[in-house]
Amino acid sequence: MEYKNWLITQIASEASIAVEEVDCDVTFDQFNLDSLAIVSISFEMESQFQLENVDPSLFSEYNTINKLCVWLENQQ
Amino acid sequence: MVGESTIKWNPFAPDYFNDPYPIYTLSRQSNPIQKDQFGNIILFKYRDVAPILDSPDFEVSSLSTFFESKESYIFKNSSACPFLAKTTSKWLMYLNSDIHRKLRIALGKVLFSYDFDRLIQEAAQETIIHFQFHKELDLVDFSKYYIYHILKKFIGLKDFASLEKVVEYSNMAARSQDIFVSKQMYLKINDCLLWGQGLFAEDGFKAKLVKELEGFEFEEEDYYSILAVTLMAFFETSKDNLSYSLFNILSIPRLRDFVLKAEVKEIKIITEELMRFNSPLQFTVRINKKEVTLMGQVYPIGTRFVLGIASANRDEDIFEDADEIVSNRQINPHLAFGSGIHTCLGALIARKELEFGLKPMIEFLQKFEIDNSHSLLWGNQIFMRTLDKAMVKIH
Repeated sequence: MEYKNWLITQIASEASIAVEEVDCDVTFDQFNLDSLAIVSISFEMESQFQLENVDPSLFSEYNTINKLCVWLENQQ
Repeated sequence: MVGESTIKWNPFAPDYFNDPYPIYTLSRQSNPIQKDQFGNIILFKYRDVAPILDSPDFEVSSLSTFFESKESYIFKNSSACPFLAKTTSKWLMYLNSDIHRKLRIALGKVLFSYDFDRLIQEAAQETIIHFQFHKELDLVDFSKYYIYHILKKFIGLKDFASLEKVVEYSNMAARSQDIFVSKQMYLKINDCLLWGQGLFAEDGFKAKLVKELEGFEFEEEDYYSILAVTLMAFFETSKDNLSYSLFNILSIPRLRDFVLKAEVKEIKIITEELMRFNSPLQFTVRINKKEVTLMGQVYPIGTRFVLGIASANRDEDIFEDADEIVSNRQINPHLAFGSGIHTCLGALIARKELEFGLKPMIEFLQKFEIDNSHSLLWGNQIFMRTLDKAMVKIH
């Protein structure tokens, strides 16, 4: 849940919407996040979860919050 | 065709910053026109890159406009004063049309009013004297010292503008132009650009600039913008080009011997070859003003093309033994300084820095060898490739 809650908060903040509006199965492109927002979340993710060189293209491959959570869990 | 190949340029791939050239080569061979997840079209082959640089149907993408559109996002939870758009508003390489032409002429007049031959030769000697008793040294520090001592003699820096501060300022200004920069980094860059307002002296270069730009109705922030870009453009790529050139020459005995024996003409030839090989500016961006067709694919007006200058400069279709430094390469149409109306304004000075510096520096540095106990350290930058550390020690 730690990953999911953190990602929901980040996406809500970046997309300027309420956390209640963030659907974890909706693809990231539907939140209208541009490259700057994606790179900034990646950067934040590195420091939050002590990861090295998070590749922003992750957001294409694991393109929903639920999918990205699975990826994050596998990194630990 | 865009998107069909499994070969994808990804600057976040492991080891990319240490050596981006393998993916450039693969891209040229298998997927020379790529579309990234954000809609950028990335070109790798010389035949695609070179004509766009020269074409009047393309224009540069305004960095300042980009920052204007993003500052509300970048500074959303910050108390910092937004200064990115202002500082980059008069950066020549991001201007189009009349303002670009007029400012380029004016800046050129100021820049070339200086006796760079003398300044560069003096700085080369000062650098060698400064490092003469070192038993080991960092070629990046050596290069920084040299370029800084040319820079401070013409641009006019205040006393507190030490080498270290100029290095940091220049690097932050360079990073502001990179692709895939986070807002966290932009905030750091913004702080540095705000601080840098106090760097420049009022006399000398700035005074000449103010005089030359009479009638432009520029404000203080506009002059600062020009000073900032002049410092960055002068310092960053020259330092990057020289440090990697010295490293390569000291690594390859045939190059070292070539430089030691070279006459002026040969030094000019190897200078061009080093520019091609190093390509400190790896990419540049252009936007099409008309619909464009490439390899059968139509691109609408306003498409953002990321031009792989460094990749084009290693294109085997144009350059034989493209991944080698060929010391006497006779035909060398490299794109390291760009091409067309946005050709690097400081190209002549950058060439002189190597032409006057290379031989005396290698004469001095020939007593050193590459220190293999230290790896080369590269900065995490995509557009402006930068060497952070390259140690050598006495034989």
